[in-house]
Amino acid sequence: MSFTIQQPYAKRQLTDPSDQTISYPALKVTFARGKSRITVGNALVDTGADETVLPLALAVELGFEFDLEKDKEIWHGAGNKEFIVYRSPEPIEFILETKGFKPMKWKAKVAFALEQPTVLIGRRGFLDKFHMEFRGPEQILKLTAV
Amino acid sequence: MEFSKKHAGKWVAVKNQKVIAMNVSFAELRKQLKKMPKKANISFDLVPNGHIAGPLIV
Repeated sequence: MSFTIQQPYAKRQLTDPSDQTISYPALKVTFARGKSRITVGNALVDTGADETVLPLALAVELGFEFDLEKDKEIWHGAGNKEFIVYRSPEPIEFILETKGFKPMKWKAKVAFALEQPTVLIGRRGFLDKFHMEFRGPEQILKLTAV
Repeated sequence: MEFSKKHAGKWVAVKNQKVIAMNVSFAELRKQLKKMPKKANISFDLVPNGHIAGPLIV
């Protein structure tokens, strides 16, 4: 049986006057490089994102150094807004853990963004490894390794 | 996991589905946790502030 993980959507309260709580598909992922390990409990699963984009603070934690001018790239998001990213020069390790399976581990490159609102999981090197079910009414995300 | 609006835009440390510490800086949050006992099984989140949408074009 293929590695399968399920996680309830995360919820957050908006800060606008509506005070609404909205939910989003999220995944617990450990990022590792050498001795550094960071476990993010609710990384946003974004099938519209080409790449996994992490806040630049995690680059420091994982031991990367960048020349903030020479190494920068300009990418675009919603509304064609530009933002600055730094690609990891080497892959980092992703670790998924769930009951009933050995941890699933693999390596892929990521990008780090100077202004990044959350930890975001994208397709290349991550989501493309899985069949995904977004069970909206149940508010559950299910990933099955291909 | 449910985050309230006081967590919006902040790094949070979570243990047993409860936020145990938060800070706008991840490095500072790490420092806060060094002073705490029982640091096992802690995960982190950067809670979005506002709406997020849209693809990335590389």
